[in-house]
Amino acid sequence: MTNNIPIVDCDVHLHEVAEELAEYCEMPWRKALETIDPEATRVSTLAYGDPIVPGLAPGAGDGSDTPWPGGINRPLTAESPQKCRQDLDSMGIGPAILFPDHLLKINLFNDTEYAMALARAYNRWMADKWLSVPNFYGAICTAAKDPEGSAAEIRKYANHDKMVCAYLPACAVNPLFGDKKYWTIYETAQEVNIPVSIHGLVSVWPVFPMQLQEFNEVGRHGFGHSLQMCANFMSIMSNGIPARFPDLRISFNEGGLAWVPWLIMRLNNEYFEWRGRLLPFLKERPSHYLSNFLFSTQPAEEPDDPSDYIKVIELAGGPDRIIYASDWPHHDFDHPSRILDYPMPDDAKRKVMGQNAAEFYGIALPGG
Amino acid sequence: MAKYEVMHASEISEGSRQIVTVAGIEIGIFNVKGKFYAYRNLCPHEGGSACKGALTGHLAQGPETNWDLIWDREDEILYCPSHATDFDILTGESIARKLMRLQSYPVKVEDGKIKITLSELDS
Repeated sequence: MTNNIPIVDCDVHLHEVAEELAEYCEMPWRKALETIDPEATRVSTLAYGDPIVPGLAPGAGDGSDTPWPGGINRPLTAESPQKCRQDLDSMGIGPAILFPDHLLKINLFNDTEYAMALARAYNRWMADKWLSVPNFYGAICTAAKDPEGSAAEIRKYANHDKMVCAYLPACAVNPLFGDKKYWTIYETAQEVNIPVSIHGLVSVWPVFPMQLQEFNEVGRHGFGHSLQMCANFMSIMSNGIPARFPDLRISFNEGGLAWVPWLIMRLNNEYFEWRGRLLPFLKERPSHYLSNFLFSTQPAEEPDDPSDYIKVIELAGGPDRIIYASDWPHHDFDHPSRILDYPMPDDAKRKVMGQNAAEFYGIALPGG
Repeated sequence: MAKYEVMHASEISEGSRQIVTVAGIEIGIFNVKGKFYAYRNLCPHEGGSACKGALTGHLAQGPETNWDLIWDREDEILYCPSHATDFDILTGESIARKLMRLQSYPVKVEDGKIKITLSELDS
């Protein structure tokens, strides 16, 4: 809590390691997890047969930049639930929603059955090891390649008191999240009243964001995240998801905010031309449906004039639609002060920093 | 108020329209299933010749169609040729741009002749 404003963090990354997940994984998939070097998974990726050593052995889209010295030298992974909680407490952060680390890349697996087994193992492990810690809440991990299996996980944890949303991984998702393939996830989430959070991680290979392969981290991270959210938002709107699932609640995590007004205004323009032919399911202009969505702040834009950030919030649907996220402990994390320092009225800060998320995820606020 | 006789009703078949000029104003007259409608040939969006656009239907999909995709409102939806702004010919209102509507004129058929009424403000 800062300035008596309760803070809910909509995006904190725990750190899953292969040997711990293996204990929670079904056979035969456990055998695969057991082959992974325990030390490597503490800091690197779950890549199998294609070890990625940044600067020496680039992967497909990862580790391809020249490794100049300098930059961040703090740990970028959570060591333990207790240490992560201490870090968040020191920033004044209360309830926090946990997302994965390695499994942000879950859509990159070739084997659908393995991906889904990993998601199930991760959910069991998180529920057991992390959600027993006060003020940690879980996002149910899904695997986009297995919508039915993912829907079953959402149903399984719907009544779990610490599982508060479904995590839909945007990294390398193909097709995008408006596709009919995923409607079983939306039907289930709507039925059991679990919100879905589309969370991004930039990968330039194999499917999205495309045509970014010539950029270094500045270009990839600088607009890759927002483009990923744009593409999925466009897919969701152009397939009429908010009309088809009017009670479904969706949040877009890790794309910042400034893309929202741009894209919603573009969509309005397209709607006025195409309503009767390509968008018959939208009974109102796209901006009308903004109230079906929430958008998380991180990575927060930094305008020259801080008051411009308030304009961005207004254009993205207003303070009712925005939720604070830190992305701790990743390199681009935003301390609560990043948002609290913007010249926003106190009631708007309360909404953005905690109230909206508490309502969205069904979390009791401290003192509330 | 002035009433203008513009043409015989038989000159506009069902599902079609004619553009006429009355008191210097271009007006589109539409025959939808035997009923006539008259609108100014001026799109409130960006000034296009709306009444010259495609007169057809639109897709419908939603709870009202049990989520089946159907072709609906045949001959009742006019798309402005400039930007495809859609107008419901029965009301003159744009469906997508909800606050916009074509300027309409009272139209009657008397003795087989179409008559349009313009107010003083129209001319």
